[in-house]
Amino acid sequence: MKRTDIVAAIARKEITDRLRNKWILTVSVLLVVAAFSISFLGAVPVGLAGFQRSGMIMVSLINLAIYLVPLLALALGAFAIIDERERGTLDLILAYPVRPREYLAGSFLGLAVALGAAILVGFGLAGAVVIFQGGVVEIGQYLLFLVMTLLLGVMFLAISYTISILAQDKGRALAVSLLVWIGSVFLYDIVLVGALVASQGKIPENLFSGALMLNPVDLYRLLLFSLVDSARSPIGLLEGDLPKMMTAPILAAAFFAWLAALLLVTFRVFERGVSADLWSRSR
Amino acid sequence: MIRLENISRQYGGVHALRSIDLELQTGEWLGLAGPNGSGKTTMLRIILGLTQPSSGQVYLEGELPDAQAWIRFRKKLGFMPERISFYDNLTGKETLEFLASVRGASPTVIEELLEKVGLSDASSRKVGGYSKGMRQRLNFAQALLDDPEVLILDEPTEGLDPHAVRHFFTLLKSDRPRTVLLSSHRLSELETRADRICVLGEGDIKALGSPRDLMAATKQRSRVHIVVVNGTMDSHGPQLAEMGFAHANGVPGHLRVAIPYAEKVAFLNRLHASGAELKDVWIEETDLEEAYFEAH
Repeated sequence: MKRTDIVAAIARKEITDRLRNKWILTVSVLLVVAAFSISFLGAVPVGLAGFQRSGMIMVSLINLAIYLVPLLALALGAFAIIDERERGTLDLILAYPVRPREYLAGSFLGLAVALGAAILVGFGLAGAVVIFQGGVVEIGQYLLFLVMTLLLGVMFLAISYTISILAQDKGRALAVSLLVWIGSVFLYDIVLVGALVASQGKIPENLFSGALMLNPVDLYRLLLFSLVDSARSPIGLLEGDLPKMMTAPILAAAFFAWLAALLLVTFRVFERGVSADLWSRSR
Repeated sequence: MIRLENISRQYGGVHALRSIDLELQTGEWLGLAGPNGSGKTTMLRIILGLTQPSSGQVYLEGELPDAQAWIRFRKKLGFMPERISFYDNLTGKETLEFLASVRGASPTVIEELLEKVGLSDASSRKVGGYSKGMRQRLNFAQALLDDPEVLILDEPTEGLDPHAVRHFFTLLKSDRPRTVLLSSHRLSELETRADRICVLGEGDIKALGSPRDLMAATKQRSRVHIVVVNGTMDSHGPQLAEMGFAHANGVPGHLRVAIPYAEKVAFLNRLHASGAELKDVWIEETDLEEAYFEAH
């Protein structure tokens, strides 16, 4: 038996579970409705409806993804390990000829595919309608948005797995996940802007840029703004308006470094958790 | 086959196991007894490689295992955990198919295993609707996937009715010779089935040996009961009294005496030599339960 067969078997079960409990379907519909609504009705406050202002659509979709995708990923992964632990199946599978990293890879891959499917179907369908109706959003740029959104989801899925590995129970996992979501989506930027205002704009540009890059959500937003013209122009951003160090390659490098680091940390924490018997201290 | 050498395990300041030396020999049935918190689960987890000892070594077939050796060993090992609820949304058959695919076992044996454990009729039902006993039978079936040489069974009969318990052990005994490590609160199960029993208490081995050795070692005494024929008390009364016999309540001519388990045979020889004429004789044996409680 190939070691990859183990990973595939575990991933397949996770995907089947999310198909059976209709998680993928529900989230896809939610994303379609949200993305379609925001695309069609996003300009209602300024007296417009429909896809005419399709330049704004990308900005709206990016903002929608920033709110929803981390939340969905955190909700999906926060119980992934705790559930198996409480059920007793984690111990059972780790007593099989299975390495901890193979188990985690299978479980993570399965949930990443489920999340990815929901994102691709949800935002993909909405995007297809937008492109077909408006035609202003380029397919290539929309695909880039989809891929980046998927990767944002994977990042937060990794964070949720780490929470699930370390949390003692589901209540705590949920609480920490919500804190992570609120912190990264809302609080971080408020604190940064607050610090900028309090210092009367004296925070060095490089320090401020560096601080922005410490938050994956900001990196996602900035990277898409720097790569997707239609996302930049409607909010009056020109290429030169971003701080000098925030070039697309640097932002992309930071984004992928975050992704790699989060995955690495998740696997390390899980392997250490298994070898240190992290979950049997209450025995 | 599996040897624990000077194994200790601490959780914070709590000693779950202290300097344990124990060997599970190929082909033997080793019973593991002890109250909650005695270290049984920690010991099983160490043997499974799920928990690292704080100190000491685990040897698998005489070797200190590396990660690869643990994987090879687990291929030969079936584990039946005490608490497992499986996946409610899968059927019994799907559960075994999934677990077989994870451990690399052939799926062709699944129908046979379901038949063996008596779950054929329920194989297409969701596990969420299974009773505790049915889940336990499914648990046993998964432990037999891949026909393992070694079985580690943690409270395997928990939740089973007496008929199912008997069926479980019949199946286990008749299936094929295996090395079995059996943890149980029901000492009667260990007494009649285990080759050796290890009694754990507060992380220490309190007693280790065959059920007979454990009973012999206990300070509890066997009770010898006799019913003598009429007139025997007149002819042999003082002799029987000297041997320690006293009247038991209720039945005329019924006498009893408590003797050390180890002196039972010698005592019966003395009784025979006394020439006392008996209508009946029986021995109330010390059971393992008493040996166990004595160990604590």
